[in-house]
Order: sequence, then C-alpha cells, then structure tokens
Amino acid sequence: MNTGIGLKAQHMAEILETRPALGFLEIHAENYMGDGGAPHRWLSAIAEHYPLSVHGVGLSLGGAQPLDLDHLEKLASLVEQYEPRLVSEHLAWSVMGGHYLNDLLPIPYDEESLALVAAHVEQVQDRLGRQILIENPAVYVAFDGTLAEPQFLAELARRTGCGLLLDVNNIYVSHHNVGLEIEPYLDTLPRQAVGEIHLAGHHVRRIGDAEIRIDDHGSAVCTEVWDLYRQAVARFGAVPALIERDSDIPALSVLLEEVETADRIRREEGARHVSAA
Amino acid sequence: MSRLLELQRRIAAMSLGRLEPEALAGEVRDDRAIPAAQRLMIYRNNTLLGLVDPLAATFPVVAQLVGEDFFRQMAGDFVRAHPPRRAELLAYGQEFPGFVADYPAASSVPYLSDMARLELAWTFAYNAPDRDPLPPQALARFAADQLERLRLTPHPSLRFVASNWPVMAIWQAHQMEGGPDGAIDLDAGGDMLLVYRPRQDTLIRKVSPGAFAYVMALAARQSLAAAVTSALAVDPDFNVTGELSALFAADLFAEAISS
Repeated sequence: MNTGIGLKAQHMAEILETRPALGFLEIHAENYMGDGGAPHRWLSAIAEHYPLSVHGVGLSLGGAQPLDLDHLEKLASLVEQYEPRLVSEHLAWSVMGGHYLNDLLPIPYDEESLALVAAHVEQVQDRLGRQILIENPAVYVAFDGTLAEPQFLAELARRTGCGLLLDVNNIYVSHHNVGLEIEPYLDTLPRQAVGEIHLAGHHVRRIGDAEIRIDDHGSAVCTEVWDLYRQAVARFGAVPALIERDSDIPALSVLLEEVETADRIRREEGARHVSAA
Repeated sequence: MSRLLELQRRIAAMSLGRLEPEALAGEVRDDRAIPAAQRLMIYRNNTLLGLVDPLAATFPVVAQLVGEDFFRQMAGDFVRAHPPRRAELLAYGQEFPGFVADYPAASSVPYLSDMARLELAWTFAYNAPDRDPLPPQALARFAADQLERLRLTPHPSLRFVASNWPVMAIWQAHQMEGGPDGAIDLDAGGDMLLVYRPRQDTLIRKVSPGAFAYVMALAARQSLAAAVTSALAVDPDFNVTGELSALFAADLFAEAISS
C-alpha cells in the first residue's frame, strides 16, 4: 500500500471527485461510532475506492481498570461494517473511574503494566478476531520503570502477537521531552512486527529557558522526522505509512505533497535494498 | 489497590483539576530543565482542550451567542463538573443545557440553555440511525375503522424542543457566515420544534402547540385517536386532517402498525 492520510470531513468531497493516488485513508474510530447519517454515508463512499485503516483513541489499553465493553463492541461493529485493512490503538490510557479524559496518558514501563496491556490487547484481538497494531506514545513525563519503551513494545508484540504502529514523530518528541533514546529504538523492535508508520508534525513550546515538544499533529513533518522515517523504512521495509494531521488542517494538496515525499523515500530505500541484495 | 491504579487515579484527578500537579511531582522522573508540575500541566491542558473542542463542535451557536472565550471558560467548567462517561464523544454534553441554565455568568442570555437543547437535539438527529420515512400514501392501505387504533411511530431521529424564545430564528440567523445580518425580535414568541433527520438532511420544523402535543403522544405510543385527544387538550382548534397530512409530507413518520 502506498502512503495514506487521515480522513478529514473537509477533504471528503475533493477526494471522491479527484481520486488522488492514496494508499489508504485512516479514520479515528470514535468519530464513526454514531448510528447513521452523514459520517457513515461519506465513509461508505470513500470505502468503495480506498482501503481503510481504523485507528482507535478511546480503548484505554493501558488503563488499570477493565476495558469498557460497550466501547469494544462499538469498535467491533465498525470493523465488521467496513472491513478495514488495518486496525490500531495506543499504548496509553484515558479512562479512570468511569470518566474518559480524551487524552493519551503514559504508563510506567514495567512488568505490571506489561501484563495489564498484554491482557487488554489479547481481549481486543479475541473480540475482533484479528491482529491489532499498537502505537508508541508521545510523552511529556517519564516514570521510573524497569523496561525501555522499545523493549516494552517488543515484548508486548511477542506475548500477544499484536503488530506495532511506529509513530516516528512520537519517538522524536519523546526523545526531546524525556530523553527517550532514539539510537537502539528501531533495532530493538522485531522487524516483522511493524505494520504501519505514522508521520506527523509537532510544535515547540518554550517553558522558561527550556523547550518542550507538543504532539499536536498541526504542522508539516519536520526534517529530523523524515530522517527517522527513512531509517524505519530501511529496517522495516515498505509498510503502509500515514500522514497524520488533526489540527490546522491544510488543503488536501498540501497533504498530498507530504504523501509524495513519503512515497519517494520508500522508493529510494526500496531501490537501495535491491542494489544491496 | 495496585500501584498503577493508584497512580492513574491521581493523574486523572490532576487532569480534571481536582488535584494540583505538584502533588504528583514525586511520581514522575525528575528533570531540572522543566519542573514535573509544568510537564503534568500539559496533560491537564490536553484533557481540557480534548473535551472542550467536542462541546464547541456540538454547540456552535451557543458559542457564537456568548463569544469564543466565554464559551471555552463555561465549557471548561462543565468538563470539570461532568467529565464524559464514554470515549465516544458524539453525544457528550447531555447535561450541558441544564448546566448552562444554572451558570450565573450566562444569565443575561435567557435563551442560551434552550439553544443548547436545540443543538443537542440537532446532533442527536444528525447521528441517528438511517431509516426511510413512510410515504404520504402509507395511510391509504388502512381501512377507516383501523385508522383509529393505528399506532404511528415518528422517525427514530426525532427530538422535541419547546422554548419560550424564538430559538429557531436565532439558530437560523447563526448558520450564516459571519453571524446574523439583522436583529431578531425576541418578543416574537416561543417555538415548538421537531428536530429530525428523515433522509440526508437534519430538519428543524416549527409546529403548532397542538401538533407538538399530537406528535409527542404518538412518540409515547398512543393510538391516533388518543393522540388527537392530547392535541385537542392544548389546542381546541386542532385540525387533525390538515396537520397529519402536513407531517406526513414532512417525512416525519417511520412506521404504521394496526393494533
């Protein structure tokens, strides 16, 4: 699959009219959990022409409390209805005491968290009857833990058979914010586990003399993140990549330029693989 | 209680403004450049933004009526008092009209709460299940003696909104780019509204008090005959033949069952 973009309401008509060469379109599952109406009408039309990816933000897989089964059922119906090529969720939590925070909160990387997330991932995969991909978070705080993030993800994949959604912007953001080590990150992840890559922009906020990088998906992918993408393609091959933009959404043509850049990098790395072989 | 559960309880309380971030500073890794409390505040801000934005999407006219800054303040206060119960936020804000009605700083806009109810009804109808409406000729297949006992089910997307203010005119005026282009007569009287989506478009239909009572009775699964009685109780001049055919022409009904 070629590179895809996140599906936004303001682009739907243009996508259906002009049919740009997109590998797939990704939706936030929760935006399509209504019973009917325009969102489903548009999505059904899009699904006739493009593969879909369903990206959940609300399951709270890292939550210490049991999963919301109603929410899991809604996700399952959506997946049954649209038969997406990819289904993904986050290594994060967002629900506590019956309240949903609509944020992707970090977890400590230790055995307690690993057992919990693994049980939740298995529960979701059992219900959906398919593999899901788990995305690495962008974080602003870190906890003392016994495992490094890529080790945690590698072990999660090994225990549950889940795939990984590698967000290279999140690696970069977490590297700056809490010193997540970039160098062994990609090499620590099992080669065959990565099933999708996310590319997004972030913004830099100053706090005193220091900088913190906020993962707002509101700007173009930066050079350093493109470099990380190139390294990821070199290691994981031509897995589907996504240009993710959730705020300050530009014209479709702007996103299509980023799609072209991602496709070009993939072709170049693919050619290098062939010549090296 | 597990260590993780306790940690998450405290972070959730911090995110919802019920615990100061300083109280959690010892839980996260120390960093001299940026204090832990300020890092944690990013999560609190993200939660607020992540829950106020869906409210702004559901209540755009309320936001226009009070201004963006006031709306975000009020919505933020609502979020802290009524965090959502589920991760699907399309229906978030069920308690918002009541909250707005009791919000002291908003009391100068007396129709604000009714507008919130109208927008909530609109969003409900927008996301409601798709269902073809009954065609106007649907009643023709019933004999006259069956009609009395007929149960006519309104479209499942239907919500009722009654207000002492002309909320429909206010709502319509705020659908235009740049806001209303003329003054609205607030003394124009109240509105009885049916909000529903029989096909692609979400409709707001103003009806007479009699028709409002009539459709409410039908929605409560009363028979046609009983519904007429309800309508006549509020409006002695209720003309069932004319009103019923107008409602049929407006695609209001989804099902007719002879009982």
